[in-house]
Amino acid sequence: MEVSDDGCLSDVIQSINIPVEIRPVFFVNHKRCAFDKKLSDGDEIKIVSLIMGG
Amino acid sequence: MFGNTGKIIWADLSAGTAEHRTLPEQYYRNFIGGAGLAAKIFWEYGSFEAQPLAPESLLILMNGPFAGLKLSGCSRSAIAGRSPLTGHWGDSSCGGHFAPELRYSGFDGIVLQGKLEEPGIILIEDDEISVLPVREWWGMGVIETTALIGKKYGKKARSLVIGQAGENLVNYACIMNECHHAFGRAGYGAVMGSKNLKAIIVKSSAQRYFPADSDSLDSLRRELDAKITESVTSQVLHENGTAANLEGGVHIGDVPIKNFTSSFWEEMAEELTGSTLTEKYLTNKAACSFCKIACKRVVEIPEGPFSIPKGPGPEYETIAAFGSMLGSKDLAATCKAGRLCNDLGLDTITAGSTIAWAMEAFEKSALTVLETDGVELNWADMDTVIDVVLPQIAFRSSKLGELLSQGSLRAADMIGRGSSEWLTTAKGLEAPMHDPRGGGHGLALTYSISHRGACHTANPMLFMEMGACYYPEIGFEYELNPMSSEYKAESALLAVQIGAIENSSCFCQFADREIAIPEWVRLFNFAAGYDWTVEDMMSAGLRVFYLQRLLNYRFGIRASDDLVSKRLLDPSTDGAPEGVEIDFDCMKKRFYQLAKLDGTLGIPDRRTLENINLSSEANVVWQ
Repeated sequence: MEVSDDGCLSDVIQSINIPVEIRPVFFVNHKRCAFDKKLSDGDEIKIVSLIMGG
Repeated sequence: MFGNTGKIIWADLSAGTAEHRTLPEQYYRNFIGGAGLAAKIFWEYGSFEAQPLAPESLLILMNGPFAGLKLSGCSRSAIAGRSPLTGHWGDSSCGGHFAPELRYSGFDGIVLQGKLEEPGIILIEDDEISVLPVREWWGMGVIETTALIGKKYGKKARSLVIGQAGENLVNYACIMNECHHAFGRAGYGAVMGSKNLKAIIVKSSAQRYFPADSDSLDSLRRELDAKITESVTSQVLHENGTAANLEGGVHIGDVPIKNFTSSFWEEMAEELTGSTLTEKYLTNKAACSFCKIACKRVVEIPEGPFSIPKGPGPEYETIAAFGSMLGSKDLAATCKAGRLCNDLGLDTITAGSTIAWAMEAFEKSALTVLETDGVELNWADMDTVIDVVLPQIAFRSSKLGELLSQGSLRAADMIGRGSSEWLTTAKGLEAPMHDPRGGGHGLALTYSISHRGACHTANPMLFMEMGACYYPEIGFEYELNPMSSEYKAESALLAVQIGAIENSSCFCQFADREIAIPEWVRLFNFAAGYDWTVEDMMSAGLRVFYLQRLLNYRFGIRASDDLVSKRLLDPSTDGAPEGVEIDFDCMKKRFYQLAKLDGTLGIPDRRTLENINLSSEANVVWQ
């Protein structure tokens, strides 16, 4: 996936339209990140759902 | 009285008698039921001098006002008393099928005191109560005993049973319902065992539940049941059980690995997660009475070293305690270890954590084969855990079994050699399988201030930090950053009140997170006939929280005991929380200010207690 030069995590989130009900948490290069995290070439993004927590 | 019956069973086991007693209605209004009402009963009638396993020690089982209502999440009850594991006040919650049956028989709870001369049971058939000898049952596991009960008293009979761990007074023995549901934590199976009580059996002839406003309650019940059933969370729980989130939990650093020494293990995440359990071993889904979520698992492992017949399967806590905590990613082994613990009557969290502590101690040579009768305790050696260690703990049949039967805190005291550095406890109770460093820093605070010790079900802090529940009507409408101490004290103060309401009304946390605060109030008012406002209900929660602290104060607990083990605070060395520090002191200090707790004594001042209707209690602690 490509993002603009000053793109950040929230751009990716918006583009893939993840439902908030599954309470997604985002990791960039294995670190949990806030939505305003700036992205660079080659960054690995992982999305994890925290849907319950038993 | 509505919802509740106002009647309890008071069994004096030394005298071999059981009688009906009534409790003042004000007790119910002030302390709700369940864990809160049990605390009040102990405050009024319990002995603060009696050791947990002494005959005069009280063991109190209480329903909440909704037991018997056909609503998802309502079929739990609480058991409470002085814990043999921690030495102070505690309680434990259990789902399953016992609570509604007890209510239908006409009772809100059971108080046990004294000790039977020989092993026996209590049999409740509507309002007839008998104390009967069962010498031949002593020595049986939970599975065999429960099968016998079904054969003798019929399939409709519901029971609470202890296994050999309870008989042998293992400090973390649990009490089992239908082999599948446990009063797991804090060792009340040992208290039952100390009273020579093998089982409590209840059978009602009709489903009697008398609310104050049945039409309004029925309409609300349907509304809430639909809401609970349709929620995404419930559907995921239904599909993949309570371990559905394990894989996600590993990525955030919530799942403890090798006695909390690591925060990330990717291959294990996929092997142990709920969907893998579903694919590999699930045969059926099961539920507590009237629950439409059905998060319980029934599993079968037909072949292999950890084969087990079709029967109850493990929950998340058991999978993590006998999986990642022990350095194992063998899902079949966690199923077998969980089944064995259910049969022996052992709390899986404390058992797994105590063995994890022992494995670390063995690795670091603080525990040697001289103390283990030659048994080697190596990470991931599940054959040894299942074939040797768990049975030896339950029967206390070796030096190793005796040591580990004490729980990790006392075992560390016994062997010394710096092994207390590897504890994962708060107030002597082993932490559940949620690591505050990754799961949320607020957990470190709520583990420390919880009356029974490290506990994730004493309040909904875990869910609040995950963004899984919001309570805008009481000011919790903001998102928390799990990896920070910001607003944790403020949200913890709300969490302890909601937690006290949950555990006193005996509502399941998986179901009740879908219930909004005004709906809670309507439930109480329609069921019990109260005219509560939101403020009244929240005050009842705070009153219960304070009373539990007052009980602990009388057992010698002070502010300096509101701590968690260093291991749970030391920055992780890997995974998502790597290097992040928890500002525990800051959170605790702020919480103490907000909750008006004395910084030395750990209890509220006299005026605060009087203002919340705890005047007589204030007179005792502030003489």
